[in-house]
Amino acid sequence: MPTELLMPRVQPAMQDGMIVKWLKKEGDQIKKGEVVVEITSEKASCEVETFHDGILYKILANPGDVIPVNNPLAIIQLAGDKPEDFPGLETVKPVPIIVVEGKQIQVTSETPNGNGKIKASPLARCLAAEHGVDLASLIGSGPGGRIIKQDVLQYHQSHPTVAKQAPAMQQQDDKRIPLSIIRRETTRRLQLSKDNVIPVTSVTEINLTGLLDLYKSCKELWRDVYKTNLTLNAFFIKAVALSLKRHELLNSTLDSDAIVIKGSINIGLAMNIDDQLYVPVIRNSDTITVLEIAQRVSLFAQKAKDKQLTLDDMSGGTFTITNVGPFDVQFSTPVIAYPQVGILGIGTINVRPVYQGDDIVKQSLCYVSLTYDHRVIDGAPAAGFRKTLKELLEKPFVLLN
Amino acid sequence: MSITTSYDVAVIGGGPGGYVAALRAAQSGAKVCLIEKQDLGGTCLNVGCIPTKTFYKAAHLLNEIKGSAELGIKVEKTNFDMPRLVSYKNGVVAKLVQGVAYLLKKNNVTVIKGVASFADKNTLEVKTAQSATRINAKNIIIAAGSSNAKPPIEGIDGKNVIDSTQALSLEKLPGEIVVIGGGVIGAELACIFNSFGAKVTVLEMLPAIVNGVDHECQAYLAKSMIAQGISLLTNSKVLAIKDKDGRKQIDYECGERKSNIFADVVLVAIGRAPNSAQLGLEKGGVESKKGWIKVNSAMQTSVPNIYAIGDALGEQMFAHAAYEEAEVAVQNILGNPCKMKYSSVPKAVFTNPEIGCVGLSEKEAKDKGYDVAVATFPLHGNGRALIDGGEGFVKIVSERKYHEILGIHIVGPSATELTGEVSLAITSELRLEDLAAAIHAHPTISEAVKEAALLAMGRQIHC
Ligand SMILES: Cc1cc2nc3c(=O)[nH]c(=O)nc-3n(C[C@H](O)[C@H](O)[C@H](O)COP(=O)(O)OP(=O)(O)OC[C@H]3O[C@@H](n4cnc5c(N)ncnc54)[C@H](O)[C@@H]3O)c2cc1C
Repeated sequence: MPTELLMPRVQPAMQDGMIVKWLKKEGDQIKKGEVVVEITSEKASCEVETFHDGILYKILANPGDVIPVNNPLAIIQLAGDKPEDFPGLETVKPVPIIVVEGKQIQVTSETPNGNGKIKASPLARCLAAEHGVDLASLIGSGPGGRIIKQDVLQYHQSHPTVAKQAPAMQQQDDKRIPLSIIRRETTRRLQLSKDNVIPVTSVTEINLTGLLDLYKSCKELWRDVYKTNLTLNAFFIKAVALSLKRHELLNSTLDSDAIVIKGSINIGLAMNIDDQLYVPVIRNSDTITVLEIAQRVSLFAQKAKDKQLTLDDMSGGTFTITNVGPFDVQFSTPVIAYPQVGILGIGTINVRPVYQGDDIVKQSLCYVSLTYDHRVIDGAPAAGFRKTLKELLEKPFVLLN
Repeated sequence: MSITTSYDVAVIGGGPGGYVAALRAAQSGAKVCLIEKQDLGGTCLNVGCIPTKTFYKAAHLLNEIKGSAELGIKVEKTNFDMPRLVSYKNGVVAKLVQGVAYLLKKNNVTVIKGVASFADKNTLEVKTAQSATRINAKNIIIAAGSSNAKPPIEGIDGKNVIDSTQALSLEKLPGEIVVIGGGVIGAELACIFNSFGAKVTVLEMLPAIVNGVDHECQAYLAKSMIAQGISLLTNSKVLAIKDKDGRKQIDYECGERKSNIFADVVLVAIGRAPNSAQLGLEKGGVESKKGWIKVNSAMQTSVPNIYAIGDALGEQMFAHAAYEEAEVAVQNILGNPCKMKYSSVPKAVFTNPEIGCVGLSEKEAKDKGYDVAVATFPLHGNGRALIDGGEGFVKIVSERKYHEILGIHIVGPSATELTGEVSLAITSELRLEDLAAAIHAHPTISEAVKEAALLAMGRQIHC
């Protein structure tokens, strides 16, 4: 029997992927484990291996095509296949594919849902596939929390996809920019946050005079000795990580019946590179030094420029920092990266005269906004976190310990 | 008036709706009382499902005997003994009623004999012939059920004019019976008495019998009933029931034409009426329409702490619907919000042949705007049905694009039994593929369900 090479689901939320490049052409011999095609989804590329020995019989999608998950990319002729097997291709059984991107991921027929399988009726699955609804974003109302037809239709109605927009809405003068995969994914995630999170933002002012002095004195030294480009963000990451360690409620997710305090502190740092938003994750930020953080941040920035960031680099975050200071923003109310429960926005640093007793002194001040999910965190713990963070950033030498 | 006792839940009526609600609430730890004016078990156990199905069993056996010669079993003479059957039925009923009493006792439900009526939204007055008491309850579930309706027809109170309840305790098999009303109850009893050997005529005002089931099932049943020797007069409205020479004369009109027929007994089965007159609904503030109680999908009436279930709603008048409504009402009282879903309540009709339907009929599905695909698998293609000497079909109404199973309609032997599989399929939102993928034992009639699913997808094997 001929078999199909399918668009893999590289991570749970992935709905479709784009063909980047075929590494084999029709008629080529292919071996089990060989990379056949490169695809891109969300913010990273990955390579698709075959699971079989055979011949790449027919390529069904061209570079640039966006193909939904589990739909065929190519047909593979297996060793024992007879030519007459080929006309009736609709009987082909999907086969699992192994995806390489540093780590191997087994693609299963079931969509993973955090800690288990998604419970959904066969009809709900079929409708979800048809309407491009991700079952993982639904809450089932059927027996035992099963997702049923009505849940899918309701979600679909309240989250119309681009394809559903009536052509009648188009006007002659409007310009339509088709959504890129990344934009679509971003839209979906923001929507997820809006639908699930109850955000509250509070802003505090922090005196960064000391931190700036420290930063300036370290920067040159580290460049010469460690060949590392130090940024202020490395200090922010460290300070946030240490604050999270003391106020672990902010480093959690909300399950249906419990608040789950995350075992490690992995901080996502929003980066804007070539007009594209990336959020690589600095794992275990609490246990590594500012120098190590700085090294990782600059490595990620380089990888992003080279379009080499992997999904692994960008997953597993437990809290996010977005430094909007460089854009001349005083303070912002960033959107929480659901299912995380908090995000820190850092504003522009302003030099201002400040009373210290009766004297007027020069201080570098900065507004820092904490947006947190009120379902999990009340005002008091949020205030505790901000207080610790302020203390750390105002006495920055602690961060170098 | 004696002292008031307080309960978490008071249930009015001891039928399938009421006793299940009481048991469920008590099992969850609530302090529960159940008030019943007659016999525990309600209509279903005493004068409904159970007695009719006991009669159905006897009728079925008689039909088997009639057909047994072909299988080499010759029965010289059958003697049908009506009083004997009635006493057998009474025995079955008594056992089941005792069973309900036992379950209620075991689960600490206080059973109170008497007629309940509302004093206010938390207070019930219970009257017996001798006394009256008051009961206080945080929540009240009305499960007062229904009774045979009596149409305003001249002569309806005459001698030998009976209802379904009396038909189930007849002392003697009448020679000729006219059944007024071709609904589920009328059609079932018509088939039963025909099998017993009576000459049966059914008068139905509407163009079809057993309204509410898929039209092909209706037509198939009508054809079979006629083939068995039952006279079916549809579009026929009864005008009067008179006495003539010791027999009954039934005047009716069929369109413009007026006519009459004669019988020994007239069985009136024109529907059910709510048992709400004694309830004092207005004192409780409970809204109703023509006596049928209005509820939302949580089974809650217009008064938040008062719920209503079962036949009293006039919704789906089946015991199994009452069971489920009881469950929904109790869960809502216990603070677990849930809704009653009527889309997969089976319709089981114990006629000859049986009808079993779940979900939308072909017409309902079309009216709802579905792109409907219909597949009908005839039972003469099913080995077991052939052995059993039964005919009929399995009809699947599905949605063309997604293969959603909208309704399954079965006529033939074991049709009512097959509703179990069908209800599971529809409740679980299975698709045609799933039904077809399940392995069905051979030779069973259930194989026809799988075949019909395959047929609906154009992949039939035995057709
Ligand atoms: C001939 C016949 C055959 C049937 N066959 C079937 C069948 O095969 N399958 C099926 O599913 N259904 C069948 N039904 C329907 C089924 O019997 C009813 O749907 C079912 O009994 C409804 O249950 P219920 O609890 O709502 O009401 P009921 O069973 O009617 O019980 C109501 C109870 O409340 C009591 N009551 C009423 N008012 C008061 C009051 N004020 N105070 C105290 N007590 C009160 C009544 O005495 C009664 O016992 C049949 C019905 C009939 C008549």
